[in-house]
Amino acid sequence: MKLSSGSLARLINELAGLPGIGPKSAQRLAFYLLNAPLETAENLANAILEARKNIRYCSLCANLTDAEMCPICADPRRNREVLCVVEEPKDVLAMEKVRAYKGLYHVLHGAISVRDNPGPDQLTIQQLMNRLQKGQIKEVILATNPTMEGDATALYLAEQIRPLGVKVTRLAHGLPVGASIEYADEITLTRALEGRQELNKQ
Amino acid sequence: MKLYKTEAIVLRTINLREADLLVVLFSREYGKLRVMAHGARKPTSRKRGFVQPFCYSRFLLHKGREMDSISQCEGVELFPELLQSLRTIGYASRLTGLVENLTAEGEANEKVFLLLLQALRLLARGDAEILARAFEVKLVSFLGYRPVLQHCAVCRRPLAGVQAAFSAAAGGVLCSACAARGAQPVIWCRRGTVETLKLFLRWELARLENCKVDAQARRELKAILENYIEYHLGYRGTAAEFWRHPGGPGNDHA
Repeated sequence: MKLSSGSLARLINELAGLPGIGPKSAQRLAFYLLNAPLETAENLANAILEARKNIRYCSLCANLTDAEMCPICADPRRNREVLCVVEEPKDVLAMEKVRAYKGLYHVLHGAISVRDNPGPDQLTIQQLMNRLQKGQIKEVILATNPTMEGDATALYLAEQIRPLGVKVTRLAHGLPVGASIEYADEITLTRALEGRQELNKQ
Repeated sequence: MKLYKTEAIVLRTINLREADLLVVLFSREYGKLRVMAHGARKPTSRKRGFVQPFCYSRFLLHKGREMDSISQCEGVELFPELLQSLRTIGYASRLTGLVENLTAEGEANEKVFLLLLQALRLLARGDAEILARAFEVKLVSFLGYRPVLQHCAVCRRPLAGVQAAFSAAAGGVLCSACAARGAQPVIWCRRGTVETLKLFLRWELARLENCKVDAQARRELKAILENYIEYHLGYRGTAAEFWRHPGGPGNDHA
């Protein structure tokens, strides 16, 4: 079968351009969409277009949303004195899954890379500083990734926030649940030791 | 199984796909290598901690068709102290960036490997700026671009006077007569700065802790070496933006 032109080839090509989808999976998806009822294809196409057109950054926390303000920022039950700074919108989802955090978020959209872009200006740091200057926020939790870039970002932010007198904390580093100490690396173990907790606290 | 072992320092990591990491290594036995660390960004990965930038680890690598991948690894020295301040992160990135950009893939150079290792060990303890400058001049020398410092690079007569001129194009210092002829653009500096450069080449990195260098000489050394590396090896530090940012690590004498 020759597929170098025509709408089927185009569909396969477009699908193959998505991350994690190779030529074979693209072909499978394309044939599925062709055999499924027309609605399936229409729904998918509309969902993609709608998301692309409507999703934008929340005016407060820079998370992805389809309204002016994201549901978390708009929720009156959230604690407005605690702010959790994360690198990506994906990280907000991860934090929300825990259900243990009731404060607000701020999404940086990246971490400072020391050697290439993005530099501090490409992130939403200025918006973060503007939010902090309003004085309502009492604590900033830096939840950047425990990598070199994440550490650099956290150190940089801590330095920027210091003059404002807001409490700055960083997520603890330690052993992942279900792992064995045998495979823990030196850095993780050092940090886990530093951040150890008293068990028989009254 | 096509497996081979090597000891290496992680120069840089690049996020790939969902949880993979492309790791640029400088190994003792094979020089610069680009390898894949599959799944290294998952919290449960056994490799995770040992493939972070600046780590010195032992690797078991698997030869792949297009790219080799990390089969196992264990840390030797992980330098956690380097990640504790912006200044050391900045300088460590400068050093690894230089090695990554000035060496060719697959060309072993044990001197460069040991130099980088020693520099990472000392970085958090000593004067990071001086260490970085000494690293730079030693690195270019090990790569075959040692600047001429003993005498004028053009007429080979000994230097005289308190001022010296450094010309990247001529490959070293110039005497005042050759500099005045103006055939090459020069950076003027004090004679003492040239002596400091010679000292950097002669002394081991560990000894440089006792080396006193004033602010003006630091500025001159930085200008001379940056210019020299850019002229001969075509590399400018890419951290420029972060480096010059207020609060960034590079504002030693801005």
